Amino acid sequence: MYGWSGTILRVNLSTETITRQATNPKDATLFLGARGLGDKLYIDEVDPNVEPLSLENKLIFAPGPFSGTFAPSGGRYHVVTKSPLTGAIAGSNSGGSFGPELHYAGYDALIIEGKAAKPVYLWIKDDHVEIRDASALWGQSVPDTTDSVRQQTDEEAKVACIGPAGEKQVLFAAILNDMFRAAGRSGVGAVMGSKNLKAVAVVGSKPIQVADPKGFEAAVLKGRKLLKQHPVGGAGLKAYGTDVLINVMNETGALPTRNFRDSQFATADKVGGESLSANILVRPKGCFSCVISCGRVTRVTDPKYANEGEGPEYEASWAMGPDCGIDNLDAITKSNSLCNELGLDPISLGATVACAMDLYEAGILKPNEADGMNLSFGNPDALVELTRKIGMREGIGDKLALGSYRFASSLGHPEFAMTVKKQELPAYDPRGVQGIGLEYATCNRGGCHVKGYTIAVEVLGCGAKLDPHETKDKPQWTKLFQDLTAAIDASGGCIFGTFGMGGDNYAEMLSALTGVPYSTDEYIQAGERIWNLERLFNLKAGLTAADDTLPERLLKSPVKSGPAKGEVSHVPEMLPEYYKLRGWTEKGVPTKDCLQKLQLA
Amino acid sequence: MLVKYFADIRTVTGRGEQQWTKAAPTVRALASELVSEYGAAFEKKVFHEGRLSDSIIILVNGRDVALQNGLETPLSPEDTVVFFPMVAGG
Repeated sequence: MYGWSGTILRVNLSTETITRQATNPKDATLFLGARGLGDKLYIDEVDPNVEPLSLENKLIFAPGPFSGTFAPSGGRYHVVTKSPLTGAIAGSNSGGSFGPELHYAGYDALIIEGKAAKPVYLWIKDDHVEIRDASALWGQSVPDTTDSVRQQTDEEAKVACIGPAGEKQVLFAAILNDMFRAAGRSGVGAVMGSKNLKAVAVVGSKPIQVADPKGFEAAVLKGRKLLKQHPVGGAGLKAYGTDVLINVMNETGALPTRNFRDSQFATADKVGGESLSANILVRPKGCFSCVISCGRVTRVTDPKYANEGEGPEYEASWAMGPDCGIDNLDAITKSNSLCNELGLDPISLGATVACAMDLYEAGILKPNEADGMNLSFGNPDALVELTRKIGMREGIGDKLALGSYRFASSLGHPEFAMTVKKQELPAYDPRGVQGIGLEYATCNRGGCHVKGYTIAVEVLGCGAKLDPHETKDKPQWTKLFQDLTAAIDASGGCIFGTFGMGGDNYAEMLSALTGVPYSTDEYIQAGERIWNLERLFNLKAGLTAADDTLPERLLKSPVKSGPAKGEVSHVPEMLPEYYKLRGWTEKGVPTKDCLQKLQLA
Repeated sequence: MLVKYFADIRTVTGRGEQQWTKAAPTVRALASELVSEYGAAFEKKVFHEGRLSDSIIILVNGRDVALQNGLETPLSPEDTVVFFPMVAGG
């Protein structure tokens, strides 16, 4: 096969058996790789009603065809499983170099099944695959684990691992690779921890075969040029990182503040990308084959919050900053570093702390239930301490480790949780930007912005310029973004590549790489196929159209001030048109015609 | 009128914000005054062949002027005007 390695590796941790199977060419053609092929393998094998933290659940790591090639920003991989946080399909995507290395080792996917009797890690060097004792690593942080595993295997090994949060099955634990890059959302780290799997280390040396080398080179160079010429892909993200959005969203009146009580934060500038660059940035950093370099290597020298590492990204800076009423960038960066070390999703972490602060200020969470801490909005020390307590499941952190929905529900007030399908919402207020609310409500992995980033056209003017307060045309844009993103995820690409490239460029690169001719429409339709496959899994897992909604606060409590004053989210009005565009029934179920069109029937 | 600058436009102006007290009845008038103050580098950020550049976003009270009357969008002394380049993240 070209583009695909042609082999899927399967490791059963219960029986300690290691097997290989050929990649099905038809599945590869239809579902591409990474998110798509990972979904297909997972859904073919796992009962949708599986308990996510049981040994019957499976965990799949899958690079895409681009992973390891010089396709621009094409170094990503996907983790697929059933989420313990949402009960829906979980797909978390990460950059760095781990995905390319897994592809170089000769694998289109790594399927983990069963549960090890004691902590183990997996050592893969091309065809050599070994399950090794990780008892001495259990309890170690992500950086320490990464260093230890490299020392025991190969200094050049690429390592994906969990920290204490994954071991202790925090429901929003992440898997980190290359120290600082994260498959962050939906609790994939908790599933890895439930299997007693501490780490996967990989070294690969096999080439990725290209069907049309000259055509691929030409398509890649064209794509790289488009990215370099674009104001965002070329210079903007490298200069300020993703955190530059703090001020943009604040000025637009859609920066969720104090658990979405407000939509603007008076001192937002103190935690934005401009302040980050001026005060703590060491240098920008890119992932494998990246021409953008949005990553931030940072250092905080204030002894109270001293740390060195990477980040925070916009989402982390927002969740632990304005959403908690905090404007101390040093404390936010410290908390972000703790997330990296303990293995936590900083979005759900910050939003869960914000929810706790909201409950505290409302008098629902009593001081004697807060381990003696003052959990008022704006307390940076409480943020840092809660991050540690959640990661280690200590005191109140043990309850917060279940996420904001379960925590608020345990106090009788689920309405304080700003979640969709029990996953915490990200950094855009859907009352001030209507289309992103539809993405939140319908995303297959629960509250998520990145699988259908309509902010690009609603706020940033990338590709088109739409009124963020209007609902007109938003269902069709949401569907297009969701489908295109699914295809890019499945190719092993980074969605930031769309800040310069379009579906036509991706289709051209994939066609030359694999030898399978994809038109632009066929490429985007592959994404639509993946979206519907995930939807079918969720429906069988028990989710319904009633789950395609937003928290009541966003539907019924108008924004109090700023540019979006008086606005609420209009998701309920947009949803019927969205279902219709998708070819689904009024209850959000894909029709037979829809499934036949997508070759899913 | 409060005028704010973000990202690399802030590096051109050397400040994050300023109070603007001279007459500026439209965004075009304000932008032209700012070109006089900050020079060719600022002009290159805002204008492209006399039109509003595709790479700039200007908000008046949080609303994008491209969705209003562009450079002819009227201004009043109590307005907040924000300049930022096309940026993104996620």
